[in-house]
Amino acid sequence: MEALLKLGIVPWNIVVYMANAGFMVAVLTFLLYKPLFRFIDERRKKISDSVHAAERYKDELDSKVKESKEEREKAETELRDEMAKLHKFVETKRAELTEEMQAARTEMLQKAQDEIDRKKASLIKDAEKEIAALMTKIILDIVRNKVPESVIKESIHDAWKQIKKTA
Amino acid sequence: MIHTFLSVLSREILLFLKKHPDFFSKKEKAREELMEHAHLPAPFKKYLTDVSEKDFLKDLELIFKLRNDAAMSLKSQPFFMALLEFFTTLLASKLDKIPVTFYLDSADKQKEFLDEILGSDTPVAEVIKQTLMTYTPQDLSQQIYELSRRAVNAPLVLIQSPREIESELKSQIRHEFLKEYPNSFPIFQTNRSLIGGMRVFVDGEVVDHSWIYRVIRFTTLTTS
Repeated sequence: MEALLKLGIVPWNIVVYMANAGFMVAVLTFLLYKPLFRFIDERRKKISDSVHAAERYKDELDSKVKESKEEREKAETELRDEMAKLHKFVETKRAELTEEMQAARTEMLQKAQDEIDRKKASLIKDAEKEIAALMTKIILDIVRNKVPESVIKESIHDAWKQIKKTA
Repeated sequence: MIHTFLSVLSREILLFLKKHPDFFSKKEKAREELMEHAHLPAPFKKYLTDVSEKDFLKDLELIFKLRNDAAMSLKSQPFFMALLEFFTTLLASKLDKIPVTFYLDSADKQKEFLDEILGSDTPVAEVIKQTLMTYTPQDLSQQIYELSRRAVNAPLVLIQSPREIESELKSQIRHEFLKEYPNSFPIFQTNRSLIGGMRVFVDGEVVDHSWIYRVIRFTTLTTS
């Protein structure tokens, strides 16, 4: 005890201090710790609820995401089908148009070829006529002016022989 | 031309019959003997030898009617058949002997030439000479062709050549056509545009052996 005293520590003080401390603890327990713990518990509960809510929301979100994904996949499938149909339609139409264009092109080409052929034939015919006229002119000029009279008279006899033969 | 010829011919026949009033009562042989002294072309001698008095009078009536009735039918009339035979054989052979230059000669020279080729001075021969001096061969040919068309429906035979055909060849041609178309009278034409050869039309059908046809055919064939 004495030692304590030497150190300046009074035992009663210790008791007082201890009682004071107990009192303080009791007071703090009633006035601080309990509300604090209650607050903490409430907070924990709130957090827990929030966590649960968040989990629920997460599940809901997952469900929604899944649903959305399914819908998206379905929509994508439908879209793909539609695209495939559209593509097929486009291909069919393209084939039809190509065929029509090809037919029109063939017809145009045929018409153009016919026109070319006609023009060509006309040109050839004209040229032939000109050549024939020129040949006739040359031959007639020679025959009229260069053939001796005796040959012409002889030709009359020859012609009569031929007529008699063919009669 | 035909009417003048018929007038002279009928006059000659009537004069002959006047000399021989019993001609039609004679037999054929006796008629032939009498006809030897008549100044008539051979086809008419034969006609008179064969014809009866009744038919002769009918034919004589026809001859007089012909002048006024140009459309009168002459089909199968013996006198006109004889007339046609005369034109298509005897007269044609004389006609073919006439050269193109004949019509450029003086009347005296023409007469001289006709005396030479006809060799007779009977009234019938004289009228033929006069006709040949007056009408061109084309006119005569046309009239004879029309007569043959009316009498036997003979086809129109037209022969074109670039130069005048020699009389010998003309006779050959006539002979051939007479064989094929009896009593036809081929008409000869000169067409210098033929250049050479000959072209024959028989009632619109052409047999063309002319040079111009050959040239045109040749040039047409070579360019087509």
